[in-house]
Amino acid sequence: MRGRVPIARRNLLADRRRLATGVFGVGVSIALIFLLQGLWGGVLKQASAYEDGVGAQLWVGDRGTSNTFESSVVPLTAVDRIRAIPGVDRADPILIRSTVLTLHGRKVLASVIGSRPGAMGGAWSLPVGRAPRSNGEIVVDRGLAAQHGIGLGGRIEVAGEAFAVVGLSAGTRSWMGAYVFMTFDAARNLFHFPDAAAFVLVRTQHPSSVAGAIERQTGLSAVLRETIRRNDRTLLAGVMKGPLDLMVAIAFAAGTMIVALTIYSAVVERAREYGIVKALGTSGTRLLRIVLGQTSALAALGVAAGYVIFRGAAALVVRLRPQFLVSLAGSRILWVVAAAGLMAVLAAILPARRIAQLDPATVYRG
Amino acid sequence: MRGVPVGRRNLLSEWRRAFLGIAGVATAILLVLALDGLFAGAMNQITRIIDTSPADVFVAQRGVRNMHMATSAIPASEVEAIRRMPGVRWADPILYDTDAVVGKTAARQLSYVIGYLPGRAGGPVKIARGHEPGPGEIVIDQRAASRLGVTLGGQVRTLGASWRVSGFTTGLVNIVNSVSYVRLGDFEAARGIRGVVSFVLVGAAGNPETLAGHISTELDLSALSRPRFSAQERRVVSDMSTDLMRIMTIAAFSIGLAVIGLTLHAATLSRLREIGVMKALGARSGRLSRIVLSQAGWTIGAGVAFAVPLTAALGWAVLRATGNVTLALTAGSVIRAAGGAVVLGGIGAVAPLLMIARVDPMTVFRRQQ
Amino acid sequence: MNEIAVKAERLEKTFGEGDVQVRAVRGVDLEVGRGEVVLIMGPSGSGKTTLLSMLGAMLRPTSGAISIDGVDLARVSESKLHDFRARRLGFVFQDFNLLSSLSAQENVEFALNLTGQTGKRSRQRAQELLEGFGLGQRLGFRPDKLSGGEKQRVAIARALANRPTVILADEPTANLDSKIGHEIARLLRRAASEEQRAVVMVSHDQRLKDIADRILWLEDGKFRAATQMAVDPVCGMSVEREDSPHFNHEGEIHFFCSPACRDEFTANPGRFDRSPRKAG
Repeated sequence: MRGRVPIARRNLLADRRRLATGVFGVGVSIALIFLLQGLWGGVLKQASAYEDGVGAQLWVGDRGTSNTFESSVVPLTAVDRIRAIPGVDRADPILIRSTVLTLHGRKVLASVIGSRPGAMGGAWSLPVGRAPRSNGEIVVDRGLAAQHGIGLGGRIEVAGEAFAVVGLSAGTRSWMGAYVFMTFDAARNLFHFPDAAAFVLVRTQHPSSVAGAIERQTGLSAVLRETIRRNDRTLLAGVMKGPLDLMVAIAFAAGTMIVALTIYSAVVERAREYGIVKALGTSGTRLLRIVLGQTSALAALGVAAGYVIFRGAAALVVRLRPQFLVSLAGSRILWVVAAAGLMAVLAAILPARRIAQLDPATVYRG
Repeated sequence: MRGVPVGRRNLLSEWRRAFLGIAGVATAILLVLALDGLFAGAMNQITRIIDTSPADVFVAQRGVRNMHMATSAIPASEVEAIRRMPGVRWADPILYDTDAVVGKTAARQLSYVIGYLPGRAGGPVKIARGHEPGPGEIVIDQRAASRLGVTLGGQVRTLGASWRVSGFTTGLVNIVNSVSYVRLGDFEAARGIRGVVSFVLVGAAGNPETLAGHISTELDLSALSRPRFSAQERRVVSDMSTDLMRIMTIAAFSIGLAVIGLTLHAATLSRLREIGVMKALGARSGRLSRIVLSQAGWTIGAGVAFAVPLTAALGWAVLRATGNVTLALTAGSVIRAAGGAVVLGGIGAVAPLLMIARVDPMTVFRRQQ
Repeated sequence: MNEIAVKAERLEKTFGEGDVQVRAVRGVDLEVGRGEVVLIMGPSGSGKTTLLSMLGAMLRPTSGAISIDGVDLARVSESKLHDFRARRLGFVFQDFNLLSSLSAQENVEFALNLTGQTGKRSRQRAQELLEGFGLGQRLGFRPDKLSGGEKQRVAIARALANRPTVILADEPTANLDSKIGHEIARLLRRAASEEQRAVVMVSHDQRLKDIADRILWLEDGKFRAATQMAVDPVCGMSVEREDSPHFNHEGEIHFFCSPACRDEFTANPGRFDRSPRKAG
């Protein structure tokens, strides 16, 4: 409202230290929400890192297989049959098994990918070294290698067997674990796998029709990359959603408390003035608007501060722990802004009630 | 003998602000306890199958010291070799893999599928309903069954084959998946495996640690006593979660610091004049500082006291809502969180204490606004 | 003969330097005896608050000396000043300045806690003091539930709790109505007479002249000619000698509050068989 004295703004700015502390507190809460959302976005992206990077349009697995976490066994004899299907440019078998590495006493979850030398399935980004050619060789994520002081030519133990590091890959790590790459036969020997693959990766220009053909002719499941990617993400999202939502809810509650506390303190400090304002004839609605104005302003400042803190924190996290990926979608930012709006409304309740209960007759007291 | 508890009186006289301060601290601590609890809960779930096993020693492929998210393969002939070792009462193999259990509809439930010898170790410790799996049969988790829309006698698919549900277990579900049991022979057939087992569960006649050591040395396998195996399992979760926990804890404590700072600052500011009066009357700085610290102490103490049952209640609600997510509240995490909160209180009290030190008792002669 | 409770010699207080220097108190001398009530009056900005602050050991003089109860304040270290104030000085303020979250009893107890008295003993003393001021039914009430007069009585009880040598009162009746103001004035007078405390009041309130033994006028940081008081033999009121109607009866000069009292006296002097009494 133009022309009116901006009481809300004056009250908010009256105590700069309190305002700064409030903005900081709300900012951290909001930053935490941003960070959680960003980490979740990162996890989802990393969940499908392999299928995004490896370059296969189709994944052929056991009948009914729909993601890479489930066990899948495809007889090796199926590989040639698949190759023979028209439209198939390439078909290569891979093995995926999860294992736990112990590096410098720390447990690291690893997905072991076994693929044939020169074929699809190995590391898609190899900035250092080369792909494994023989059974005693391995490619390790370079971030993981750097963290544990493993270089080219170094050795790493997987399930009791030692492997020589011949290459360092990129984009193959998340905070939950990393991919390591070896030859198909090395993986089969290591895990005593039967004469089979976990999946056959297929490159084709016509994924849908080729998928249908493969399924008809082999009785296996041929899953589009988009589908398997979506399923992997959905699975991980399903696991993490509950805990994530819980953390976000708590951070939201904390932020709301801080807004409420800051504005409530501001109101109480000026209780007499609000009493005067009431005595002078201000309506309840205007008083509520004054309170809401303050909580909204604080929430808005908190969102701005929160975004700045988030960017700084995300950069720091990624710098110190490169295995974390922070990926915040625009839609998430809007969601957080809306949540902050709700925060402002909820936080206004107690201060508004306090004002409502003020007796305008306090103006007459000494 | 104690004097008038000015700090506590001041805190409670503005009960709404006190509530907000305490609630804010409680929320920050809840954040830490909940996160701690999530990981501790996950660890408990993951190790339950090990902790409730009758096996004294777990034998795996050389270099493998975990069960979940690990792959282990041992030649089946080693089972007999283990049985022949002195100190071994019994030794039973299991096969183990992760796969989806698919119900009637498209619903799928990720599960650890264990193949074991009927009547021997490695199978379900307790069957809530139904019976152990016969040929072509499977025992699945009760909660997973209801998600899949499957009843006793119903059909599910896993390991590339169809199975009839013969029984339900409870208590073995975790945040990621559940546990299902089939016969070892059926597992082998479904997966085309011959001559290989995943783990061997061993009952020890004497000291399990000693036996584990012998097996490791003599047979070049990885053998760990049950407590050690369980500890290794916990380490996977704790090592994986360390960095995330650290980030979240820093955030939570920053929030807590803001809350405590705000509460004390507001509480002190609103009583600055009274602080001046007290100084004029002859109160020492120490006495006045104690007032601020007392308020901090009460706020933090009450915040911690509320956070603990709140976390427990939250844990109950979360488990009810999800069926597989648990918050495990431990004394250690409460002590750590409380300790952190006390440090925060000290830091948050610095500005108010400085404010108090700067109050000029002459202000008592100024008129109140 | 009164013992000297407050002695100030050539007190000076200067604030600021150079062009912005302000001499708030200039060469003030003051002596107040035990049992004496001194009223300091003067316009705003005359230095009353500064003087009271120095007497209250809250402000160090630029030069000059203050002794309370024979103790030179300059010799009391900063770290001991608070203790000195707690034990030797009592304060009464215009705005009452009670601690709002404490009950009436606790407000008095708090002052006792400052001198190391705690527990049942302090509670009992607080209770006795408040009961003596007619607040026996108000012990558990917080200040926001007390009237102005009740609050000031609590404040006086607090001021007396540690049996101080000196009571310093800053506009003690300013926020009170006529009747209550008189009550408070009488309480302060009682504290002086019955308990032999030195009472120094700063006020614009003419009612306080009734209880004062001496009235001092502070202007521009200096005392102007001190006025002596006398008691009107007809109504018993304390009056300033300087401005009051008077009558010489048998060699003695009597001072009156008004011409009416003087006329009543002159009509029948024998009826008012009192010797003129000096206050101070």
